[in-house]
Amino acid sequence: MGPESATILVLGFLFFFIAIGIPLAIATLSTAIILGMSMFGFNSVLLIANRLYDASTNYVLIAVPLFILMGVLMERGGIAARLFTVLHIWSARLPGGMGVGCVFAGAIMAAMVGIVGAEIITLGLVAMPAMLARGYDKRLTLGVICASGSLGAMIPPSLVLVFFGLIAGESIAQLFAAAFVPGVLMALSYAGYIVIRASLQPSLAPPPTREEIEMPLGEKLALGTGLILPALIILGVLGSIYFGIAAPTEAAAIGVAGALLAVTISGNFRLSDLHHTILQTGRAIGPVLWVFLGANALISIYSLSGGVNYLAGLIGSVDLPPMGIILVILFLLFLLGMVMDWIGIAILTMPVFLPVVEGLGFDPIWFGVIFCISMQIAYLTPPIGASAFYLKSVAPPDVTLSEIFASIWPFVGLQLVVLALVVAFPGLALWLPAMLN
Amino acid sequence: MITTAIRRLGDGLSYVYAVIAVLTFGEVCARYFFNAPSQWTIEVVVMLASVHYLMAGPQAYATQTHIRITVLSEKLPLRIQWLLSLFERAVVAVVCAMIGYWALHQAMKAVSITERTGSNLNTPSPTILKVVLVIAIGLFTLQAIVHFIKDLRSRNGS
Repeated sequence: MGPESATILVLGFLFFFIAIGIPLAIATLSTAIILGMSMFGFNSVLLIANRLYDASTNYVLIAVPLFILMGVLMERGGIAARLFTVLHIWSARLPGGMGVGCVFAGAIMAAMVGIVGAEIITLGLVAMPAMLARGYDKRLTLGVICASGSLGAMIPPSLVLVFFGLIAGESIAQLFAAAFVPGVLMALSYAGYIVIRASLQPSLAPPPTREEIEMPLGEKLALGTGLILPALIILGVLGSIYFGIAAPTEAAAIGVAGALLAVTISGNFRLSDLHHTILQTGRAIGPVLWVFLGANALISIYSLSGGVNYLAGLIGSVDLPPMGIILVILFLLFLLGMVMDWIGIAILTMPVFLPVVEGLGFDPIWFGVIFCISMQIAYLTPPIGASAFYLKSVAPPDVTLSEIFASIWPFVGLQLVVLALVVAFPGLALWLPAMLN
Repeated sequence: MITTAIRRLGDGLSYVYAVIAVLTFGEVCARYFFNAPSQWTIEVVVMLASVHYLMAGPQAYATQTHIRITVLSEKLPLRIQWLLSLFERAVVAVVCAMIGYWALHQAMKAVSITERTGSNLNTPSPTILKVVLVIAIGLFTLQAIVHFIKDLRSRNGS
């Protein structure tokens, strides 16, 4: 069997297993076994067992559970809820101020929590009732929450970037730095859109109460004092990575210590919460890590079969200018994002796409950022836009999945604009890493 | 009972992350405040994390939280969904049994020579983890069989 047949076999079985609802981790492992046995015999399963062991002993991988632990601590400590309250009052004078507050709360939570599911659920529980009670348009509210929550896929310390760094062998610090400006740009574009929409159609976003508008400045500032420590934690975590003081895993541990301190001082956190935080972290690991392990095993066998080189050659030989090939890759990522989880896409496609991208002379750090934006789009787009499912799990019964999916398109449009900007002007991503270097 | 035991084992092992956070934070403090970096922290935390990663697989399968795309399968009639669920359990059991066979082969080899890391600390971490992999894959297989029997008893998925 040649690499061509191996590629057809992998694509065929993988999509079949995924389509019939087999867990992604097992779908990748099953495909790896079928490919391995077809090409190299039964002994090849030893390689799969070995890859499972080998991939699980990566030191950088420990950053993932520690960032999750930090995020869950912040969420359980009520810091996210307080953040929304403070930010929507601070932005009360803007048209659509509560929506803008939700976006900024999402952006800051992304830097603290970094887990899209946790963010959307928190915003769904805190911001959605407040916005709907204020009389905000339902569709606008749903879209704002999904889009704001999915900023966690983009703004450091995003787990998407951590995994991309692991797979690509690139510096996670550089990736975090590169994603910072596009992430902020994305949040600003959402906020700008809400302000414009609310100015043009004031009925979509009713103004705040008199009390909120007339709240004295001193009182507004006092509201924010509880957020000083979380802000310092974000600066501590990201700063220690950007400036090379600590490796991502160590920075995540610093973040855990800081988050524990912050929630303890806040007074809302009990010992039983710590127990639940640890259990929640442990339970979040299996689904993500096993896709990583399974896809890792599959890509090893596929590489051995010559498939990775074959596919990379195939894409590289397309008669298009370099930027045309990048657009083809982005289109493929967009399509895959509609049917697959980001971690599976990252592990299965990056060994193929990265050599092509580097061969064309593009910076892999820049490619990491545009991959990340593509995966953020994947979080929103149907049929498996995960953010819609997270929001549905905490939304009132009268909110349907179709309504949620219908609400996200303006934000997907904004994501595509930011993606186009970063593709057209790589400096947007590469400026900060160059400065820090 | 087996499902509960696997779930609880995973939950209990989650505490490794508290230990990892303390050790890693301690390592940063030791390096910057006392200029005394340890030679063992990384090796120990990698081993602890790896134990949980591997055991988290059967744990997630016990709680049915593995990532799966159900958009298409959920649209099928209940009976077909039930048949697909039986097929899935069988696939998981067979796949894990096959990997388990070779994981056992790999672990026996590691145990026979007490495979070590070869670092300054030279812990037997590879041996321990290869044995843990066999246990994890074994529990995964067992859980698939338990789910299979349970699904089979539910007849048409009702």
